[in-house]
Amino acid sequence: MRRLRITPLRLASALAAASLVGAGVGYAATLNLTSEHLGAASQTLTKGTCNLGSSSATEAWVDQSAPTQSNGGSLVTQTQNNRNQYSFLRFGLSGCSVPSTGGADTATLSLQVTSTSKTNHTISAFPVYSSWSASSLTWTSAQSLSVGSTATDTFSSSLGTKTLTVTSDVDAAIKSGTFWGWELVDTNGGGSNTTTIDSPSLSVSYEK
Amino acid sequence: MKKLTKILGSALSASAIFAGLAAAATLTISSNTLAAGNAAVTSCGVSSLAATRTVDNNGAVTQVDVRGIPQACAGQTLYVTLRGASGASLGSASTAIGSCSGGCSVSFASFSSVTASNLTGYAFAVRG
Repeated sequence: MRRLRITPLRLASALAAASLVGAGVGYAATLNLTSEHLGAASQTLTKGTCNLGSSSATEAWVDQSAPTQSNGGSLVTQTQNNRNQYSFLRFGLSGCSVPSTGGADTATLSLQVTSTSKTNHTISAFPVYSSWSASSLTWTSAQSLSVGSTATDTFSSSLGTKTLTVTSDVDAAIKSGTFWGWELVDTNGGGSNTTTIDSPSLSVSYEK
Repeated sequence: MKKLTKILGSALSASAIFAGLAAAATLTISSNTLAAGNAAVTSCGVSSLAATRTVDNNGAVTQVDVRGIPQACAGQTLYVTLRGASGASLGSASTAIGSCSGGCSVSFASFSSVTASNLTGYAFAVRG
């Protein structure tokens, strides 16, 4: 019988073979780290902008001193004992073509104060949650509207362009599919003041 | 003879090392965990999940809702990552998917540091 002689070359070959076997066994042992149930998905958002001008706006104001009168088509606020006037403003968001699964990243309402008797009053924009029509809204019917108790933003009654951040309102409106805009109220409370507002526009950056 | 002794010593050492490796490997092979791992990896059908988010008036994300999760995923864990520019992670969270009938949904309220305008997408994973 021929004796197998151990040479350095044979020994090195044996070590290499053993290494491969060991690595293979080690790799097989790590298979048990996988989960029994796995799933993955992703969603890519599309960004866009939408600018709605006066032609997309619906405007009305109501007068406490004429509680059954409708005043569609313009915006006026007034604070005066028993002669308060509130304005209502909304936009048709359908022109932006954002589905209810989308949302507003930012939304800015721009207004122009064209006349005022006092420049230091604060006018607040409260979100409206129930429907109204410019042709039929009156002081009396406005009392039954659902209006938020916290102003989304405010602006001063001084002349000029005003910008209000209304992101949360527009985002909620996109998701609900209905948008009833804002009630504008002179919330200064001290002294009488009448302010007229014009040229409303809404700029929306959205995702869908 | 001295050279042969050295060679034999090296070979014995190597054998001992690989014997150790083999022993360690067979420990896993014989465990119950490996037996479970051998089961087929399945999905509960999450290939088309979608999320919506709400924002505050500053544009910060206040809540992320993931809807339409298959009922078969109930009891598993949903991981969501909010992606920004170039797919970078803006934040991640996970939660257990509760039992439900029809499509399941989960909500996350832990992304207030994320600005919606920076959000470009979502990545989802379900692991059971």
